[in-house]
Amino acid sequence: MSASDKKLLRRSALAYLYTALGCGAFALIYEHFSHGVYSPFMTCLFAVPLLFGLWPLGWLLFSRGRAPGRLSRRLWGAAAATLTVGACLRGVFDIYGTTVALVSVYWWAGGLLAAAAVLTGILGHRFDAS
Amino acid sequence: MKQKRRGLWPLLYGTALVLFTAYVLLDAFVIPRRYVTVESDSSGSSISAVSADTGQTNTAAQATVTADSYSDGSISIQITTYRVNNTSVYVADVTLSDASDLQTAFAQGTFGKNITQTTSSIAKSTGAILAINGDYYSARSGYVIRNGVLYRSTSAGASQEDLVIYADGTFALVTEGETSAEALLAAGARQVLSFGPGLVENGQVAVTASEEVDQAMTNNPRTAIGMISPLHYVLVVADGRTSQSTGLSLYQLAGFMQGLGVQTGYNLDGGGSSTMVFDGSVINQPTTNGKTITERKVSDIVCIG
Repeated sequence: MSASDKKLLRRSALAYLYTALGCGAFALIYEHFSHGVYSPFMTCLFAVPLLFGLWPLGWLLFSRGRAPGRLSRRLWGAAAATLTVGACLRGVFDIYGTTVALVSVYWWAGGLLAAAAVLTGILGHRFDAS
Repeated sequence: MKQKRRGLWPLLYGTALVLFTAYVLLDAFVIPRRYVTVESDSSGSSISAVSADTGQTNTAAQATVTADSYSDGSISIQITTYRVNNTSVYVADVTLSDASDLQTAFAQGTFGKNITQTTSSIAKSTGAILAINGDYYSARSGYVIRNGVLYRSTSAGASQEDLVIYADGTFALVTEGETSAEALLAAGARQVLSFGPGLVENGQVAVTASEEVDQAMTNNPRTAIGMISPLHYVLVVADGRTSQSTGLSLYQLAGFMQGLGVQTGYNLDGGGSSTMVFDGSVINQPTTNGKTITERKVSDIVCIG
């Protein structure tokens, strides 16, 4: 892996880590004022960007090939953002005590984007390898 | 130019995500949707259907009203305030001669979403002498049967525990997994309230010390309704989140209601929604943040008269 790829992945992993810290802080403050009402989606909000950050970290640590292409990284980022916002909203709705069917759009969109990111990442490498 | 194009995708997707999220929030909390408007009678009451099917009218001409009681021959109400676990608890002991006087009403006389009014204003528009907030059906899923009309048959899940008030005034606790809204209506249900959980069943406390509404694990303002015997009920509201009142856990509330002699007791929407209105005045201390005493707008009430 080239030095520029390593730098790119390191920056990407750090961005996910900082986002996870921000989400954790937001959830702590939100649940502090929620009169003892909690939601697992809010409590574990930090985990979404943290888990998404494992992918660039995994590439950095275990892959000797090139970093995933820009399209794959963009799709991965969009998936992370979509699922993080979805989890945050679900947490807000849980704590308020309501259910909103439109939240499922986030799970579907985030899942599809993540799958597309993995697919384009793999296919991109196969094209590179050939 | 290439750099600009590279930044375009995150910008576009971010904008789309923000706009969609704004729509979801507006849809959840702001945009009103009217599904069914309940027909009003000539006096402006939104509960004319209840009176119509019994053929009785509730004239308050001969009513005797004091600061904490009401009696008109067919309805008797006595308000008592207790101090329980450092909390003010308001109990309306209600005796009826006709079960149809135990009624419910929607905000703005309309079944819908994000259609709200304060408990006191709904009570005023329906002419109710006594009212408490209901189950806030519009923020939740679950069966909705009001005054003998089925408005929603969507289940909130098999384990959702509902309170059924039958035409003869008896209460029953059912789970939505064991029956349908249509079956409840066919069995004579006049009201189905979908919040919960059931607090007292067959005179026994039906919740555990650790049980709470969804993920709530602390004391809170509470609203509950209980049947001591057919046509003899208690409507209970507990303050909370204030320096004067810490609030009650569901277990404490259930124990208190059991002590009142309740055979079937049920928890309604609590927190900032908890409100009791008697003779046009709010008698408890409703609050949403523990600092200001304000009445929250709700989607429905349970009322007498």
